[in-house]
Formats: sequence, C-alpha cells, structure tokens
Amino acid sequence: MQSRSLIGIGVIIAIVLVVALVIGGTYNSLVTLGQAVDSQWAQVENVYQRRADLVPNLVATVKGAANFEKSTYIAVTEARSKVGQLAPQAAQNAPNDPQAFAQYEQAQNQLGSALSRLLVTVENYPDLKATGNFATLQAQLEGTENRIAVERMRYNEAAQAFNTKRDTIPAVLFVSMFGPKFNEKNYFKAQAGAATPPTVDFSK
Amino acid sequence: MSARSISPVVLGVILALGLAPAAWSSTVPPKPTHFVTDGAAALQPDTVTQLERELHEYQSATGHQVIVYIGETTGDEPLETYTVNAAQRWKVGHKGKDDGVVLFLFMRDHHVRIEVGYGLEGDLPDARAKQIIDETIVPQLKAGNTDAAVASGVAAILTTISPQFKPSQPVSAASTSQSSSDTDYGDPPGWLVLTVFLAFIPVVMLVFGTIRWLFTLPWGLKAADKAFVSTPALFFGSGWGTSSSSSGGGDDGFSDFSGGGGSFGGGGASGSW
Repeated sequence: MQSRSLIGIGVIIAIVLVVALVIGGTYNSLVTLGQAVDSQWAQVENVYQRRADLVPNLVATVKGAANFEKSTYIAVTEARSKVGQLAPQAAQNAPNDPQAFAQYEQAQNQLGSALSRLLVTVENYPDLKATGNFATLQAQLEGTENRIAVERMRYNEAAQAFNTKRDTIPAVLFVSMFGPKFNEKNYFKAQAGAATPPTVDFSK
Repeated sequence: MSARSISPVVLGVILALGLAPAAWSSTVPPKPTHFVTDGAAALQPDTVTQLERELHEYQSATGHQVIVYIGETTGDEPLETYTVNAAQRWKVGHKGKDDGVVLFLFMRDHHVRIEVGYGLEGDLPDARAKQIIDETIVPQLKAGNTDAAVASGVAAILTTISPQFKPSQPVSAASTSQSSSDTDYGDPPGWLVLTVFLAFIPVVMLVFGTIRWLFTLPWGLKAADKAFVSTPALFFGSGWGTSSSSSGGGDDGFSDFSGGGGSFGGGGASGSW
C-alpha cells in the first residue's frame, strides 16, 4: 500500500522532471534561434545603411552632369530621407513587429526602385557614364544591392528556422506562456527579381 | 479508395516541401580540393600547376585563401546567388577573419565573378574588383586567351590585397612558357622548404597544445612524462620540416586546398564577355 503510493509519487516527479527538461531545452533553443534572427537582422540593417550612405555621393555626381533629369535624383533624395526617418528603435524591433517591418521594407524598396530608375536614366548621358567617379559609384551600388539580396535571404532562413521551431511541438504547446517574447518573426517578401540586383548594362 | 486518391497529393506536398531545399543546395558544386578547379577544361595544365603553386605560396605568406573555380554554367540560378552560396558553403578563408576570395568563371554562360569574403571587402573593394574584371580579365577572355585572363586576374587580385607580395615565379609566364615543374622533382626550391616548415608550425603547436591540455586533467599524463613533452619541441619542429621537404617535390601535395571557415556576404563584382 505504502510502496504503491511511493511509486505514484516517483512517477509524478519523473513526469514533472521530463516536462521541465523538455520545456527548458525548447526554451533555450528558441532563445538561441531568436538571437540568430536578431544578429542577422542587424546585418540586413547594415547593408541597407551602406546603400543609404552611397546616395549623397551618387546624387552629387549626377547633379554635376549637364541637364540631368532632375526628377530622377529628386525621387532618390526623397526616398533616401524617408529611410532616414525610420525610427531606429522600431527598425531594430522590426522582426517581431509586423507593422514596423512593413514600413521598413516599403521605405527600403522605394529607395531601391528610385535608384534603379536613376541608373536607367544615366544610360542617356554617355559623358557621365564615362567618368571614373560614376563607374566607381556604380560598382559600389551593384555590390551593395547584391549584399542586400544575400543578407535578406539569410535573414529569411534564420527567421524560418525560428518560426519552424516555434510552431512545432513541443514549443507550440507552451510558447504563449511567455507572451510576445516568442512572436513569429516576419519575412521579407520576394519581389520580382529580388534575387538579382538591378544590373544595368553600361557597355553599350 | 479515398486514401489512394489523397496519398499522391500528400506525397506531392511532402516532395515539394522536402525537395525544394534539397534542390537549392544541390546547385552548389562539391567543395574544391585544389586551389584551382577547372571544371570546363578551359585552362592549360601548365597554367593550372603554376596558379596552384602561386596561390598556395600566397596562402603561406599572407594567410589569405584565394581560389579559382571554373565551371560551365550556373544553370537557372542567378550568377550572384550561386557564387555566394558556393563560396559560403566551401568556407574559403579563415573563421573569424573571413579572408577568402574566389574567382569564378562560367564558360558557357560567359560570366565571371570575383566573390570577396567579409574580411577582405576593405582590401578588395567592389569598385576595384569591377575594375579588375573589366580591364584585366574580360578583354583577354574576349580575345580568347583564357589562360592569360585567369593568370593576370589572379595576379591583380593578389597584388591588390597584398601589394608587398611577390610571387617567386611571375604568373604571366604560365600562359607563354612551358612548365618548369619537371625540374622541381629533383631539388625543392628554398621557398618550398620554408613553406612546408611554416605550414607545419600550427600542426606542431596543436599537437603540443593537446598534450599540455592532457596534463591539466586529473586523470591525465603523469608529471614524469612532462620531460618528454617540453624538451623535444625544437627537435620535432626541425625534424618534421626536413623530412617533409625531402618528400615533397611533387605538385599535388602543395595544391591541396581546404576551406578554413570563412564567410561571404556578397561582396565583389561581376562581369561578362
């Protein structure tokens, strides 16, 4: 009789221990995966910042060209200032905040398309294209677009690893206990041609 | 009946989910084992030998890993996606330093790309990489001289990153002169001995570091054995240096490449011919 209740207590303790171990292990791996997402997000912000830093130089260079179409570089300047207006705090937390993420992505995409329009326009200015300064800027811009594509892809992979862990058993059973700490991470949506940086052929 | 009709759908979903990443990863070619991998038979064997020696020597002198990969095509994948995935997967360069560079050529696509590791983006900026491609590599590829294109491209990359580095034999000679590798079998040149000696220092350090570490364990080697460890350090260093240099006249032993854990973020430049 007494031994039976002892066995019962033992079983309960064992179950509690196993559950605690499983929760603890899953919690730790969620934290690890979440930190991987955050550090990858920092990389994404870095490369976008790198592009934004190129803009003043680029605009100054094309401005110098005679009769350069104003509207194109004004669009770039405006898009650049919108990127600059993004609140750093919100941008940092964007992986967890769908609204901030959408804002960030939209502002960056706008700058991206304004820049590629500018590059297309430059096509009509052979003198400008021929300057070494512009060639350098163009190579930097292409390289930066490529880095953005790479870091975005890796961010999505990190976010996918986190979300998969989060949305599968056992994590999904208890993840809500921790409130917003383990919210699903947001993804970059694939744009048309997102995998390839906008390359413009200047060799013609 | 219903199970039969559903199962192909389920199977299809599983296959689509399961194979998508597999298909993606299969586009990365296997890790190269040499500094120069010519998968399209685009280079003369002499050029390959010469470049491998050069790049091995460069790694010994500077620690940076620069490799050449020539393939036929990247398939459906965009050039830049393919190359950054490959370089990243091959771990060219060293962990923490990320000091690897890969020169890619795709003969059927007529694409060339210089992929630069994170750690060398400052030494080999995109604009300079672009310049090397446009001014050094592409004109010679257009002229049909692949050997000279690759050799001079590699030389430009090396001198850009390490202006003080001087190859013991000029790379450009590879495209014109006959190989001098036959003469090397007899007597290894001085730099070869030095290279092997330097290459073995980390190995020796690792071995002795491990032995020392064993002492720190309670169940480790006894103090009486310590004399064995501490005294022969010099003996081991020189002993290995001479023994391996005498055996190492051939080319293959010096062209082996293995990635050191470097990381890539899409730096570099592309071009086509």
